[in-house]
Amino acid sequence: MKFLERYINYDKVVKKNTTQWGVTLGIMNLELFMGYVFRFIGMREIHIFIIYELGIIATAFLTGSYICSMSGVLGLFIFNYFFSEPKFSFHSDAMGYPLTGIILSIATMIIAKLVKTNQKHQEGKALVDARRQVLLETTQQLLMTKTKQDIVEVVADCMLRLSGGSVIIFLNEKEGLGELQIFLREGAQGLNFEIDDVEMRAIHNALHEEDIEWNNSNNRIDSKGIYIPIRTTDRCYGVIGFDLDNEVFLPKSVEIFLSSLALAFEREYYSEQRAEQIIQMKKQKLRSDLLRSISHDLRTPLTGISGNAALIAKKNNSLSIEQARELGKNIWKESMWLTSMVENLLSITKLDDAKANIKMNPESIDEILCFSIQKVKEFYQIQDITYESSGEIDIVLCNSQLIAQVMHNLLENAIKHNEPETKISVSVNSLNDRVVVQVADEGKGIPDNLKDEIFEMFCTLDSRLESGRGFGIGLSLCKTIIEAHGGEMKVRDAPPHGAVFEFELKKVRL
Amino acid sequence: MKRKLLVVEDDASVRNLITTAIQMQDYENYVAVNGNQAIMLAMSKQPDIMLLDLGLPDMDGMEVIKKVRSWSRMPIIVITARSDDTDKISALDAGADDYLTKPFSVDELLARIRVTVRRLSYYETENAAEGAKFVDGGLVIDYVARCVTLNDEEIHLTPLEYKLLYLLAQNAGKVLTHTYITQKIWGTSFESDLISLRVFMASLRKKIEPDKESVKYIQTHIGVGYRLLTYPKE
Repeated sequence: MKFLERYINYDKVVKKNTTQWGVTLGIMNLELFMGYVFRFIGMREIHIFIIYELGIIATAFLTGSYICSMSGVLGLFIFNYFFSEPKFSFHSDAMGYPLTGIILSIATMIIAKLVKTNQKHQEGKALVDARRQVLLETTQQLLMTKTKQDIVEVVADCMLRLSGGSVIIFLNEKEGLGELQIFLREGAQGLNFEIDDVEMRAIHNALHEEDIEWNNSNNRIDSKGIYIPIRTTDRCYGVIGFDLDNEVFLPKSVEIFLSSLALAFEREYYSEQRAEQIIQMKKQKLRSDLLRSISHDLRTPLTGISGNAALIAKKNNSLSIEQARELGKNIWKESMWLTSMVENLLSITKLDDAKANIKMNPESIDEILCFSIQKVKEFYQIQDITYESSGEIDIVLCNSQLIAQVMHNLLENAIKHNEPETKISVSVNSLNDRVVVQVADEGKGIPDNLKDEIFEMFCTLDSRLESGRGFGIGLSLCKTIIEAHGGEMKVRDAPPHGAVFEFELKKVRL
Repeated sequence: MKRKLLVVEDDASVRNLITTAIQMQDYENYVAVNGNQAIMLAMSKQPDIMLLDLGLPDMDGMEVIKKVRSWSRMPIIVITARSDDTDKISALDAGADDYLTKPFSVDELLARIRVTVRRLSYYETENAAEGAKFVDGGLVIDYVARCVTLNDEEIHLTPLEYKLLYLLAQNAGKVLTHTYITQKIWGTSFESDLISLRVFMASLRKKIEPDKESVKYIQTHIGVGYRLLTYPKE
């Protein structure tokens, strides 16, 4: 990684240059010193010259090539000045020296150049190796990602390491551009620029760009970031942006990597679609079951309503007032049944539309229960429902209409499935963080073998019901609603006989 | 005096149902089949109560409410086929007094009309809004002394409970939405205000409603709001 850092960080490069010059000067001083030592012990000038040669090669190894050539030329002059006869002058007595010096210098420079090329090659190889390592690791990690967010994180990490700048990622969601995700490079306080209109325009450009010309994409719009689409041939999965320092360009390997990234997104996209298809199929099945069941069960009350109404409306009918009233009562009953069915169906669509996000408000559980009991009492003209409150003010987070629907269904079941004047009681218990609502009746109870099935759709108890009606969506709806509120719907026996339906709701802390 | 009702409904059979029901109760009625006609009749005939279907062919029922409210305080009972609460709430906030959801029973319709008629006569006889006392059956609020009695027994209310009851009394017979109440009392309508409203409403009810299951004074409208029911002097 050291090479990578050097590659991308301009500050450090400047610093390195300074040190290189320091090293060079140090070597030259050493040469001078060694020269004097050699002279002192009576060595010949040619040996001192060799020291300078050595110095140049050392410089070549330790520093850049242009510094090395500079130091070579400088060394030649210094040698000439200090060591060749006459001393302390650039003039040379011996004819051969300057020429030898120049030839040797050229040879040295060639050596230095070779050394340097080799070094650069090594460095470049290490850089490529390091990048390859990053890419390899990332590709491996990409294979193990489960969600889009996983992919984003893996990618961001990789891109931070490869590009050295901060990374911005936008995913292309179904509803348009997703949330902006920023991954800052180490030590950065924030992006170097704001994501403003210009940047957004550049991002949108990248998103809808057909050909990838990413290093130039910032030429079209004067954006500060560089934005590259993540795409396969047929879909664009998002945009990745880089906040880079001016002098630094994106390494080419990023380009190669982006295609494998797009593939990862594609894989994710298809698996998501598959999951959706399965859900859709299940929904479709449920819907067709429901439809079949409804169309069958709608016919009966409709026949009752239209037949009875036709009788009354018929000209010259010989109905007595009493008979007409009876027919009217039937119509009313049938339509009431239709009404409560429509309410249930509406609740189902409400749940369907909102999926898991039902609109919930803080509600007083007391209020909802009293309201529901009063409604049912009026509806069925009965009085045998008792209510026992917890005695506390319990506020729960729920959708009041849906909970009222649950209560309506439970109470209605208790009335319909039992003999008239069976006692029904509703009670609420306030616990530490939740309330427990119970609807109990003193009827026949529910057989053990049906206790699990009873909440399933289209499960009806038996034919005790008038004309065997009811699609069994009531209880299944109750269960769905309570589960959507994060609770559980239970049923058990009430001693000595009867059934208790029970559910919990979370309290709001006051 | 016969009360005059204006029925605004485009569906013939529902219109027929409503008019038949109200004629049986000895109310006088006018019929409009669209919004423009409704506004015209409301101006020319000056009915006491308007029954307004929100889904009209020529204009949105909300428009009718707003137009009528610009010059009249006649009670408006909204009839809606949509089960979504937001419709009712926005109609109430626009100035409607009450609402009915289709399908409704004749009993329910007549009960709503009775409540509204009672409220009308209440205002005509007592002129309660400006009076020094609010008398509603056994419930008496003395605005000057800021004291409340129920069946001649004094009830001790906290300042906020009093404020809540006062607000309901000022709008007796009208359904007030949660948002309206929290706005009037706290000036805001955050979720925390809604929680407070539930709590204060529960404690207020404990004090003035002896029988929880069959409320006498404060009626709950699930998901919508509350209403103080009015009664003739006992």
